[in-house]
Amino acid sequence: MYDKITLPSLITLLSEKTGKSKKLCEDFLREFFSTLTNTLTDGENVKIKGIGTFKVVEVEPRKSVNVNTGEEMEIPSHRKITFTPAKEMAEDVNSPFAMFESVEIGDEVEEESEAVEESVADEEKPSITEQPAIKEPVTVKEVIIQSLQTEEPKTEETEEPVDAEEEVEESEEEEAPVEEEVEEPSGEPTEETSEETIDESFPEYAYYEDEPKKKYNFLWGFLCGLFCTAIVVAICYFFLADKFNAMMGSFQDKDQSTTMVVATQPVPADTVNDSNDSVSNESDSQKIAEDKDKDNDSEVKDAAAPTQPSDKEVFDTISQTRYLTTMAKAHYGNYNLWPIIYEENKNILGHPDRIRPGTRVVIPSLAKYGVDPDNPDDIAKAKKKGVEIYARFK
Amino acid sequence: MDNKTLIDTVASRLEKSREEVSELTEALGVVMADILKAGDIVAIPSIGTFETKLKAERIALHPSSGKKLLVPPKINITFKPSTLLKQKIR
Repeated sequence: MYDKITLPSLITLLSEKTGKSKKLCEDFLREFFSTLTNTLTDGENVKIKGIGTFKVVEVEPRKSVNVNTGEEMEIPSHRKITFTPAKEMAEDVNSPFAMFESVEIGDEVEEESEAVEESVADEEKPSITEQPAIKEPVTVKEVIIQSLQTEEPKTEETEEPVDAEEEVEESEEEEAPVEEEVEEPSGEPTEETSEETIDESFPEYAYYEDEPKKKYNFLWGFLCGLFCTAIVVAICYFFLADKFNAMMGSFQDKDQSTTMVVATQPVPADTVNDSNDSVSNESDSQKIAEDKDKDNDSEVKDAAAPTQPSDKEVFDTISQTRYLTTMAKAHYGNYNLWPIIYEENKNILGHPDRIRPGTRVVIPSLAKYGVDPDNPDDIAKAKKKGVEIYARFK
Repeated sequence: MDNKTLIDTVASRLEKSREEVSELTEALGVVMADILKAGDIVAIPSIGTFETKLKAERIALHPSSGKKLLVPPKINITFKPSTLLKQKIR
């Protein structure tokens, strides 16, 4: 690439090609070019087979302006040489582009190609959007009906088809950018080729690659479109499957919650009398379930409080990333409750901000101090205590 | 001066047979084409340089029908005469 082949290397190449001695080739080249210059200086044209024609052309005098001074000057008539390469050599050198022919095109080049792409896209679009639109709601509905036959079929059913429609709309939206992506490369290939050729002056491989692209541009577009539709459909199914699973999961949860409510109802007989109402009014039943849960929790706490400290004490070790507050957050769910841990371990702890990493502390159960992390009053008390602890070290 | 007379003159100057010289001339053409195909420049002292230039594709109007044509890219061979030759010819 861009190597300058001078006379010596040309001589070697020629002798290699013909099998003649270098001496002979050198003599030949010298004589050849000297006769060429001589005949040209005589004003004669020279035609060499396999190389080309050197012509001596008269240039008429013309007026020009000196670039530096701006003066007008006349370029006198002179002769110049023009070179027309021989057909064989020109074709040989141009072989990377030999397969191209000038193509007659309409008035709008880019627009035409894009229009073709769009028409292809339009043909495919409805098929994509219709398929899920037809399939999904039906299947989803069926499933919903099946799953909801036990409870509240009406409200859920009305909601879900809307979801499905939204899904379809989403898929359409997703489709739009994909289509654009497809169009972009189709509009540009001509520019790309020219850029490539400028960058790498002899990209033969690039042209061998591009040539079929050009020929099967339409086919390419079609294939791209197909590919895109496949992707879009895959995405649609993926999302729908996800949603579907989530839906199924939620129904199962609901079933469980209701069954739980039913199961727990007999115990607090005074709060909920009729179980039928709870099933019909889900919101009520949920509230009740929450209340029940709370009650259960407190019961569990009450039950656990006396047993925990005696059976197994919870220990934790202070480290550079684990302080009393993080422990309080981990064990009690609120970092404001750290003074409880401090109070339990105040014999081994000094200033709350200067606890040595590696110190082992006992984590007391909240019940020991009668603290409820959900109770804001207790939290406020704990905060107050924290201030007191800090006050001790002043 | 056409090819035949050129070969005759060169052959008479070299005192070689015409066949040999014409063979060498043809070989020279092939060698030059090979060099140019590889994108290299043939520089012959006191004559000039042979170089390839890439012409980008363009849209041109058909001279007679006025229709638009997409002209494909092309590699052209250009010859740039040396200043010595230019001055000799002037």
